[in-house]
Amino acid sequence: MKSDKENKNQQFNVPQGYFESFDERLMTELKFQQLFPNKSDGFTVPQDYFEQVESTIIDQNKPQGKLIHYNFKTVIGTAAAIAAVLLMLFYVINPIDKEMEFDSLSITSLESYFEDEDRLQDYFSNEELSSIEDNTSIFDDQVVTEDVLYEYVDQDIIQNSLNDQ
Amino acid sequence: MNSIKDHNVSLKFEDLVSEYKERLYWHIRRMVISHEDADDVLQNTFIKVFKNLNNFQGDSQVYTWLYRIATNESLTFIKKRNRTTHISNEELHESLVTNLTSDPYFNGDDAQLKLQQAIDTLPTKQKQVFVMKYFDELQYNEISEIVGTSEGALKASYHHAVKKITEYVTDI
Repeated sequence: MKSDKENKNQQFNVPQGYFESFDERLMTELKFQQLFPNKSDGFTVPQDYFEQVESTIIDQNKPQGKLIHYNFKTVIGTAAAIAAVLLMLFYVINPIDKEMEFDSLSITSLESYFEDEDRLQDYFSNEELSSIEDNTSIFDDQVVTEDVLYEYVDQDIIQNSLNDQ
Repeated sequence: MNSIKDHNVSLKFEDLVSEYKERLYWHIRRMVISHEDADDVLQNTFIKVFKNLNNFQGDSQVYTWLYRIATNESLTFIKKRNRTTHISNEELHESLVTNLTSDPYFNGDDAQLKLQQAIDTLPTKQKQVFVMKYFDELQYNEISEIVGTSEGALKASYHHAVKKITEYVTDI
């Protein structure tokens, strides 16, 4: 490895492939800075917007109505009683101990699950994911294995298979 | 209780609004693009902050907590907007950027317009990482705390974003 020739004391390490990918990363950054020498997005706001929005937000969140003090013990006691009744009713109405099956999950639940999950596809396009998978040299701790890719299985595939059933 | 503790300093809700409204606004604006949408999301963000003041743990810095809420609100807003308009993310971004040219609250030059067009071709969270690093000038460890992704993945994501933006702009 190139870095080992210069690294005489062998005290420090760099991520695998660091020097090989350094030139490419540096050139990308330089080209970007040449294209956009000034860091500005061009967005503006209406005049006095920030003064107005501050008072709007504070007004919106002012406590409204009379403050009611609850007796904490009474509230807990009532909540516990209601919970006990509801639990009993649940077992009376639904006595069968039915195991949760994949088929019983609604498409909406699956959709919201995948939306809530931190999906790699949101960070990288498919092309980049396969590129990272092929070459993990950009950063040592960025290793995307095939298992990880399969874990984040595409939502369309699941939805299509559900539709087919 | 309408206040939180940050490094043993008690901050009232009003102080938080006063201190962070502009930083959060610009972060949100760069995600949702139009001023009207950014205004809605900013207000929703602070409503959520107000409702969750008691849940602030104090183990993260106040502004990373606020950024996290603003980021989630922006992403939720973008998802809802995409659902209600029934057009793809790409089509929506294309029309939003086209509208920028006639937007009274956008006075960017040609390079800035191209930059916005390029940013809007990025996957949502890659765009989010780019905006936080490039415009908001947050450190990777701060972004990591906000979005819950490792610093290594964020660095790679930012590099891909810069590369794609450069290629997009030089190709058009």
